[in-house]
Amino acid sequence: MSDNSLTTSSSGHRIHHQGHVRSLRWTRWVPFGLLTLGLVSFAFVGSPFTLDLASQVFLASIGSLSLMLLTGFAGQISIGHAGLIAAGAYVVGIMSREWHAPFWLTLPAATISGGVLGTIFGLPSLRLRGLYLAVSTLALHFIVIYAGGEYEAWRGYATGITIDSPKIGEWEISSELAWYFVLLGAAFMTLTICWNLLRSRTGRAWGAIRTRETVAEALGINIARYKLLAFVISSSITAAAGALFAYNRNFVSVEAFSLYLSIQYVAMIIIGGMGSLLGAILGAVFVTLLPYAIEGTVGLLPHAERYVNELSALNYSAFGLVTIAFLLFEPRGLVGIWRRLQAKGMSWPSWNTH
Amino acid sequence: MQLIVNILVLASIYALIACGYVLIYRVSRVMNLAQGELMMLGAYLLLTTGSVFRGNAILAVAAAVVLSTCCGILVYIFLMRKMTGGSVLAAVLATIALGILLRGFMILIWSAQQQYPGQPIALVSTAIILPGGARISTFAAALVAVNALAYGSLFVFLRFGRWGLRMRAAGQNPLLAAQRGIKLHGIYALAWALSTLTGSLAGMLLALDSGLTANMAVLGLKAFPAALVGGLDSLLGTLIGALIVAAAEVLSIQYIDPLLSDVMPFLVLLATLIVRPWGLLGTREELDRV
Amino acid sequence: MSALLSVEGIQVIYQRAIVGVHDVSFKAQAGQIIVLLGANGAGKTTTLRAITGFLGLDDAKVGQGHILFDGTRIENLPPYETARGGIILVPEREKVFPNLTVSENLAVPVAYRVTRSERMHREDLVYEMFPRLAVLRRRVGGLLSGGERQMLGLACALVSHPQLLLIDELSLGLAPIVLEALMQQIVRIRDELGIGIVMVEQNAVAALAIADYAYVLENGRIAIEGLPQDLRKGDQMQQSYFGGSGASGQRSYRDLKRDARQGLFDG
Repeated sequence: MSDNSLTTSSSGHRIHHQGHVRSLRWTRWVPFGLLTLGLVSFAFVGSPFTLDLASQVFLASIGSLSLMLLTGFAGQISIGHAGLIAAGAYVVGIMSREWHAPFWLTLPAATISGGVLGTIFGLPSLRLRGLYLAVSTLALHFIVIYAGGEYEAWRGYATGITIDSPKIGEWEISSELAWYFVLLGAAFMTLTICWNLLRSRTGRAWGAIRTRETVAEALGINIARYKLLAFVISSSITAAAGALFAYNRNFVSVEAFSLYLSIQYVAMIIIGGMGSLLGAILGAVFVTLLPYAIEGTVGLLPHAERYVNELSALNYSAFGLVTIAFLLFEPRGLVGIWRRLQAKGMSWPSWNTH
Repeated sequence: MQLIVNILVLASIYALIACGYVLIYRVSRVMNLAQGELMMLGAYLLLTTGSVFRGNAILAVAAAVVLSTCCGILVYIFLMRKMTGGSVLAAVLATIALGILLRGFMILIWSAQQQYPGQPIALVSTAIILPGGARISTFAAALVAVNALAYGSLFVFLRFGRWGLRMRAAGQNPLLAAQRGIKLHGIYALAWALSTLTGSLAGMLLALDSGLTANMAVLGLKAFPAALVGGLDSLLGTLIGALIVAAAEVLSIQYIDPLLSDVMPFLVLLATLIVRPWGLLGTREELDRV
Repeated sequence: MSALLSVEGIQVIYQRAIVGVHDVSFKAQAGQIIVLLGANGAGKTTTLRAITGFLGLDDAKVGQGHILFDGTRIENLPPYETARGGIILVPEREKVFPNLTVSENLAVPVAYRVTRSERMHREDLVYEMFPRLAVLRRRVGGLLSGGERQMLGLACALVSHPQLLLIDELSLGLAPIVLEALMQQIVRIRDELGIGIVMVEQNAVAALAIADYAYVLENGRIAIEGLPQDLRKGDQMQQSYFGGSGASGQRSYRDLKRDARQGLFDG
């Protein structure tokens, strides 16, 4: 939104932004500054478990941001996120096992492989109007998983591929603290990339396609090309996330990449709120933490041991229920709830709109 | 000869499940990605009705069929109905969420272990020996028969039945159909009911034949390529598509690599998207140039 | 006799911002043909859609005013409800199902509160009114010519047993002879079935030939109304719609527009 917009404050008076903003522009950055401070200090305060948990959230944000680009802005569904993550992970695994390639080679290779997959599976389906990308990514998932499984079988890795931690000179990135910062940085970088993309001409084209495809076409926007671009960019980022995932776990195996993983990412963007980068992050936080919350709640029940086997089923059910609840009752997701609270003035009035 | 039998059986499975995709897509343009889970629901319901009506196979199967059809209608009324009028994207996302919800519930209610719905009702799979030396189990044969029956009835209903005609009309132009007095919600509920019915029949017969695992839902996804290859809005096309996909799968298992079984339908899917995205008999869609 | 349809001061707003119809009021009785005339964009089709409930799809709604059908308020009801109540629309564009045959098209409409024999009777009547359709029974809707499609659209509407028939731009793309024949049938429908008919038309000559009463819309308001013979005689109508010279002699287009701007058309 431009700085010259008129907004109504919660008390109902019209405030002309421009005058205020010039003298108070720095207040815009206060929330960000606080957040950064908080995140950095948390690193030195949190236990290894919580640091790892936070790292998982950061990693998930990368995937959910890339999916949000595709679905929330270019209007296409992909259920192939697990496949793309797997692709990135396998590229890392294969390259580091076969050729002992260092991370500064494997990471770009993984990203490029994501882009290649995006082109192969995006081109045939995005020429069509309608949700053909969904079925195409379904194929992507199964084909990548098959390829990965075949590789493991061929090489005789019964349980999976082990990978050494990435090294910069002599320093190995393997502690929770190190990964915390690495993934925080990666998530931040992804957010910046997405933010800039959306403000670019490409982002505006995506917005036009998402709201009124026919009008966008009349304006001369090449629909198929922009949709494909969205998918290729999204796939590249997702594969990069997969590479980071592989290094983080030091391990790659087919079982980690189920359709359920793809569905989790879809849930992230629905719960977070479609069409909003903030929503992608909120959704990632929610979905990553939910299983832990469920486990914790179940642990509080009497005879908790009995329910341990049911945990995955409980997770499935909870995800389904929460996602459906959001789809039915709060289509704008957590971001929608946040905005409504903001409008009611329950949090301090924010000058940013996003 | 055995290969042909295997292809026919697999094709019948895919076709029965896939006709659910087609029915719903045709009337509402929604891809029901929860079809696999709904199919499993039928099988699990048979498990329960089987233990209620011990020894009485007919009653158990009938009850399970009725229950699963009701579930399909309930899914429409409580979830999908609220999604009509919104974007198709939201509706498909709802089916994805539904699928995962159903899967969780099914494991919670019935546990993830392998079950055998045939046992309580004394239905046991035996092998029939066909001329030429090929073998087919009774339930596999039933699958082929039920598939033929289902498709036959659907063809007749859609072509000649008054409400079948109205279903087709609603699929072509929902607005005009509403103006001609057709209650669209009724049509959609009917599509969901029929779709769940055929899917759960497939699920039940499969479970009777080879047991019921929590992983059966994957079959639902593998059946999707059959619908796409034939054309998402063509029943006849889906029948042919199922044959093609099944043939590709069975032959590749036999002659290339057994591990290909799960992937083959999706390779066929990809090839179809590249070569002829609207399928064999589907309505031709406009292609944008990149 | 109270009006079958009474539109009272309606205002239609598109997407919460654009006003398509400002203030339109008219009445229609059973056994009458009412005609709404006007140029493109005058608000005629919007008015029809407001009556039948098709507005929701364009994110539009009736902002002010009422629409009463047989005494009940019907504004902002969905199409299914108005169809059920007996208001049937022959739309301007998609009026038949393209992949269904003619006879299938005629079998689709759901006629409420009508017995089976009444329905069959009506189908026979329709085939008798439009013999061409009987010949084309097995032809698929998408392959019909413009005139045949209009016939089928009308026929399907009749099969629904309407109490009020709304027709949007019947004359579009039709040869004069075909249009003439269709207009005759509409008169016949009015006489034999006694239903109310509201027609939206750009072809003023053809429409006024069969109308019982006419309204002219301009920029979302009713500019002129009256009996057909009066309208045909009036100066303004002559100049704007018939292109002939009125009592004041021939006027240039520029003069015409100037007068229009000066509010000459305010009724």
